[in-house]
Amino acid sequence: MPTQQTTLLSPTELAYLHSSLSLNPPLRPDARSPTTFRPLIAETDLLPSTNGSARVCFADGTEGIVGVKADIQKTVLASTQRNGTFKAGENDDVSMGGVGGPQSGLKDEEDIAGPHGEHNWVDVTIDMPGQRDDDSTVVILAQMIHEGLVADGTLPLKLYINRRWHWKLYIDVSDEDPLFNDDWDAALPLYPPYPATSKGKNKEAPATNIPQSSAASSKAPITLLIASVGENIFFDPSREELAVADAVLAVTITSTPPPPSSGIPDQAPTTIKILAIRTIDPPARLSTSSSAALGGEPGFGAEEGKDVGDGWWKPVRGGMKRKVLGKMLEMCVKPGGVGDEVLRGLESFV
Amino acid sequence: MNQSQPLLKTGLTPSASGSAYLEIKREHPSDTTSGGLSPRPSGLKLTCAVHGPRPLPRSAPFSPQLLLSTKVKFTPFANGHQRGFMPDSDERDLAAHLETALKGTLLAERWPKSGVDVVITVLEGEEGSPSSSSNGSCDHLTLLSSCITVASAAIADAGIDCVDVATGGVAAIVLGASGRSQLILDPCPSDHQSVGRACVVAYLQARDEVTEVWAKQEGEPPGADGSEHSDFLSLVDGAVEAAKAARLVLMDTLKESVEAKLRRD
Repeated sequence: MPTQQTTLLSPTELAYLHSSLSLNPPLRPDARSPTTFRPLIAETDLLPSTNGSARVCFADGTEGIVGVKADIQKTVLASTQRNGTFKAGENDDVSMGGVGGPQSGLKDEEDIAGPHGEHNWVDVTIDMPGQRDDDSTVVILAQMIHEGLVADGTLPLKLYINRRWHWKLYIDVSDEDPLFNDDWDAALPLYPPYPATSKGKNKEAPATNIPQSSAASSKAPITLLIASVGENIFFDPSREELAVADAVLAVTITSTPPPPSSGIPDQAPTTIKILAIRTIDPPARLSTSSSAALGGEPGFGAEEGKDVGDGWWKPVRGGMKRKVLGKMLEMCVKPGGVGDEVLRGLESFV
Repeated sequence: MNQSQPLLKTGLTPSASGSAYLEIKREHPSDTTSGGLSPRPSGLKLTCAVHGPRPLPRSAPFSPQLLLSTKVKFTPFANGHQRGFMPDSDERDLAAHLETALKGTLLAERWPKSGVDVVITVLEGEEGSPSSSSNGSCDHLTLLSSCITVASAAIADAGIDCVDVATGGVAAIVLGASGRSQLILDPCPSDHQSVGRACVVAYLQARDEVTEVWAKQEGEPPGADGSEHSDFLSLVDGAVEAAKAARLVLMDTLKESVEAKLRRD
């Protein structure tokens, strides 16, 4: 049975939140504008025994610590996997991490020309206190981070050493609060700033044998959490806002460098690319206090997603409209939009 | 399209309160080249069992509504890569996506203090083309869309009230033979060497809403014609069209199963 999410808000509080968020212009509980992010504290390089580490702290006590370690590992050739002589002792991480697992093909080892990368060379583990490690939140978060990291195909390429050996990258996230934690710190050291100078803190040895072209291809991916209430869209929703959200979406974006013809790199607009999208189950559906107390036949009460008066509110059923989805994506990727702003903000960080 | 009409049947698992079976056959004209002792799976075979609504265990805390739990399990012989007994991260991820897709459709407050289990067993799964180096993101997307459709059929067979049946659809941008990227609906993972971008949706046609969107990218982004978000939206629209086509099959099946039930009574 799934664990039940309990919101500590009364039905009246939920109704109040929902109605203030559906106003035009919306009023968020902490008076932010829809695209403002919560202030956060971030620091890097704090765990001595890792190759790279970071810590992110929000004012409400949400805290995440990320450690990245690289390890040399023997490459299991695709041909041996296919023939079923796969030895667990030789490479026992393959079965645990990564999307898809080893299934990549029939090629003989001679056929694999030059550097290549496999998704399971990046291993993301998330640990949340009080959550089992097979809880769906943990699984979704880990897969989402992994998906974003491998999406443009350049990160696994950077882990290639030679035909028989590769770097295995372990990313361990420890969340102090089961809320959202963006994964940008985890990825930064491997991604040099894109005027590709030696200024970038390449803590990882693999960065040295990357062809310059692939190293400069894109920035580290960022996952943005977006919620919608009615027609209104909110970035970086707080826990209270998530409790009444109609739909929640996690969008992983990255920026590609401006074309070299466009003059000074700092002034040229970067292009934001969407790497992955996934819907997150809105917690409103499970809130205990929202639906039960409505009078009359359950399910035939008031129109869902609306405030029904008398301080009651009923969570929305069904899904999200495509129009809302389009608006969310547009706000992420448009020039000068939220994605642009966040990525520029991160540039000053490194 | 290379896809033949999928076979969807309900009520094949007698012990479950609702069940469905989905089979999609794929033609592989180039299959002789692969060789080896184990031939590649010829398509997709899924079975779904719905247990419930049934009372929550006594130890569970009070719930005013129906609690949904989903499980996706590959059989050991489902595809070339053998999986263990414990669900691995792929299976759990698929289950989490399926849960998101279905939860929005249920009228959950009609069953307080109860739970429903949706269990999908993948009898035969599809694999991406063996020559592609990627670990087959497209496989999971097509699999999820079939999972959504088969689970909706089983939930309807179990008689659980829903706002609408959700159906799954996939669209992908692949590199065509001419070197141009093109949008295709219901891609077959083994047919395409490189899938640039793919998206699966769970679509409720009666409400024109999506309960689940999962988009992924593989490798370098394909050359974009328009702006980034309109590209993605056309991908979503394509997936919705595929889901509408799946709905026709689902509706036929549900009509058949209702008629069979009426005849039996």
